[in-house]
Amino acid sequence: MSARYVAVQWNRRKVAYDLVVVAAVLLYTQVFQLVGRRVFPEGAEVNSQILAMRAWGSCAYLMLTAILAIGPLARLDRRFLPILYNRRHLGVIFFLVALWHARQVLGFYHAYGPISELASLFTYDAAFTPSSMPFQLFGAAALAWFAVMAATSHDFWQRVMGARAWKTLHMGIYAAWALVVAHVAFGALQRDSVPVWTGGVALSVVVVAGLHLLAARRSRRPDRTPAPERTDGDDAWLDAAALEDLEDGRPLTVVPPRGERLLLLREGDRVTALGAVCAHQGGPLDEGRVIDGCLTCPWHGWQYRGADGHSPPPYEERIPTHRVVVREGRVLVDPRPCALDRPAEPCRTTGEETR
Amino acid sequence: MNRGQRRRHEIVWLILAPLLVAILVTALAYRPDAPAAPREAIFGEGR
Repeated sequence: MSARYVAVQWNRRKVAYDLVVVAAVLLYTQVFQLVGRRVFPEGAEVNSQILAMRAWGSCAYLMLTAILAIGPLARLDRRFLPILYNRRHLGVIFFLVALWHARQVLGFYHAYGPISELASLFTYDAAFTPSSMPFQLFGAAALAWFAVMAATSHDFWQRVMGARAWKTLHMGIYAAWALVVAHVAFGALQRDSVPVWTGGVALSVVVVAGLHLLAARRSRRPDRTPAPERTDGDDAWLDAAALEDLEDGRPLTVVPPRGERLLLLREGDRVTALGAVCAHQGGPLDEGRVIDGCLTCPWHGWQYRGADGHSPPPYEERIPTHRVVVREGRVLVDPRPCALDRPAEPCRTTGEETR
Repeated sequence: MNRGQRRRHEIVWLILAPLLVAILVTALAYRPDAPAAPREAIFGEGR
């Protein structure tokens, strides 16, 4: 969350996170090559340059698998939420690892001909048959997409492009991942009959796809049971929940028959209803929690006051508020949002029922 | 995520999951009998 843009906002935790990731990358690639030299002695088909390529390539694949698994894991189990933190830095480091792998491939397989390395990559004679696919082009296409994602990963670009366009662009990671799987399957897996590679890649596909499907199913489930509507005079209200079901400081999801989800938030004797979609990247605020008196998005920590849906100063983000009343122990919510600059008054649960 | 994003997310994975499995199965089913070294596969022997 930032009031103004700087290239990268560092803090101690981010520096520590990045250092740990870089150290893990260096450790993995060195151990991979050390073990590889024992398995493939010098002079064998797999020389030290090929080993280095595989070390950095497999490291990039593992990092991408982890990046893709973090999101659905955090949706399925809140205990994984802390590892969602700083995922964009992990993504940029992954891109640099993949770029180094590509640099090694170009320098080894494409540097010794009369044409440039890139021209060689895009013009070498590979037939489009199932046993001879141009797997390097799949990797190159994926890398180009990751380059766009890494370059636009900063919030500055999200503000320039708009949240929806930015999110759509970055959802392209799934297509890029499919290209990476094709790159590995028609490359390393076809050329080397190593059961560990084959099993590992198959397992990664099953795990990542399975987690995403499970998380998608679970997040859509509440949409199928919207809150019932009640009319009161000319007004239509959503019968959102029993007052006793509201836990202090813990948001409760409300699904209207139409439109986006809302949330109910009880703080002491005050009940408010807010839009459940974060203004940053559309994160699920109804899965967030109250930290330092503000409702906090589980994805990137953007915060909003429960009383009026505004971010605390100096931040300027706002989410819509909805009118709330309590009748006979039931919390009723107006599905129509109030204007952002005229937030709804919170409903007090003590004394007379108020509107 | 909003309602549309949740629906699209599920549809994407319902398409992507079988596609990825098909890619893997195809690649493994058509594995060459005598695999060539990558350098030879690209440049041909003797280069």
